[in-house]
Amino acid sequence: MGMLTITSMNDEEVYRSYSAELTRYATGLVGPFDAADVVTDACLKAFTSASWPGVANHRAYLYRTVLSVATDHHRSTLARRLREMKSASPETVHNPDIDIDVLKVVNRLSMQQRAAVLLTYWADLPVDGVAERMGVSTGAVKRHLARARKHLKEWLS
Amino acid sequence: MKKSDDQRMKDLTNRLVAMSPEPPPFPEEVTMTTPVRKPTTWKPLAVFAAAAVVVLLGFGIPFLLMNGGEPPVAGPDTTTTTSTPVETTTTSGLSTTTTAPIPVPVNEVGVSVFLFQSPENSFLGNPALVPLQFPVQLPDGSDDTDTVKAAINILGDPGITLAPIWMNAVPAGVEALEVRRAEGTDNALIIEMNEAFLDGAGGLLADFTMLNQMIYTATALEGIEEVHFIVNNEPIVAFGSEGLGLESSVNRESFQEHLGLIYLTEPIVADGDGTMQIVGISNTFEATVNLIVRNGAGEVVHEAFTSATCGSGCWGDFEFTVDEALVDADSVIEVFEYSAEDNDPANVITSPVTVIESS
Repeated sequence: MGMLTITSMNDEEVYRSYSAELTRYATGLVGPFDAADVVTDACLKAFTSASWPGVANHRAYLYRTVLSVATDHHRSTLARRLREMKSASPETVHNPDIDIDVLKVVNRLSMQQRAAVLLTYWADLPVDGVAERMGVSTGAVKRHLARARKHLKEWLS
Repeated sequence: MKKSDDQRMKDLTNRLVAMSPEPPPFPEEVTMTTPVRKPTTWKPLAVFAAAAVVVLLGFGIPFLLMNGGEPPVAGPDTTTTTSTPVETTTTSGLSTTTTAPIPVPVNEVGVSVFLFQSPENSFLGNPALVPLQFPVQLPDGSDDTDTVKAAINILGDPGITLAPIWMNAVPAGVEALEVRRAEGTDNALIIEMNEAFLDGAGGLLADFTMLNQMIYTATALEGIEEVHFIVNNEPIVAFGSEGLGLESSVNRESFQEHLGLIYLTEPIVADGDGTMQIVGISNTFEATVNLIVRNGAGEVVHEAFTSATCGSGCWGDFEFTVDEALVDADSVIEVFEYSAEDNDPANVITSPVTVIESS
């Protein structure tokens, strides 16, 4: 472990350009409770990566890193947060900004399925664009979407 | 997908993203921490078992099935097919090698057939399902119901023998005579079985395992969620040794409590598109599920872990995405959890990878 100082203005500009949408994306993946941590961890991971200086598409790279960090963020899953909220007192739970019903629905999906759904329906990306942001094939994106729709059958009906 | 479904999905994602907090500040100075991973500890017994499986199969025991004097249904170097003549599927095994692509008829298709693996401790655990992809020959003009019938009849084929690590609770001679769609629904099948089906598998847990194998195999067809078994065109009022009532439709959740705490729901297939998915259902401590990919020599080439959508008392879905470059036809996938009691691997599922090569 050690201290790391990031001073590159280029990185800071990149961060300012994309941090808001990355935070929204992370919210869709892990919920609002852990989204900021995921974005911070993902950006640190990206900026300190040996391959970062050669990255041409910063946006796609950061999206992939957010998904990767969100996937590894398993110890603070949305499911656990929902359980904690359920066991907490009503006063603690009450937060008009938190849409519990939507979180419960999304909790049915795997991380890859959440990413495919978000990038398709929130970011309005075509399948190849979703594949690029997820770092998977277009076939994999279609499979994730098909499985997500199956899990969201009640929501869709 | 209907337009209204698209609207619902957009609504869902918009409501989800609307909960987004403010972006965090630029991380100018941050303490870097390394996430703590559980150490991978393997008991000598587990190591021995894994080595034994590799050695056993490495000496040429057929991968899965040998069908009497006929060509094997699926086994070492068995070439199976997709519906496209330019593609071939090579069923993988622990000791097999990939065969060269061979043009095949369009009426030979791969179907998902669910076998099972016994728990480490049969007094404490339940059998776990493992789906494998098998080839079936279908006559021209066959439809989805013919595919389901053929898949179920692989399970009851009297010529089948299995490699030791996969088992089949469906007795030889059990046969689906007819499969048809239930009237008024588009997600249910009626399966007319022969009378041998009524005898079950010889014990209560075996009966449940047999039913789970058949239900999961039948509902592997996309869009099918329920099946209704009948015999002599009548509902089944007494099935197996305990006389289970099967008068109504059953689905994948009907006998889920009699399954192992981790099982797979789709065959593991590397179809050349860059990544492959390992998909299943689990009920593990804190919903954590672990994955190991081994090469043909038994060496670990990839490790990962993920969270199922539920755990610690409820069933959840899990999914791993693995780079296909990490696997070949000799690879073995293991899915398991670390025991909360002693941190040893528990509820271990072992599956081969089916490699599809496109010409």
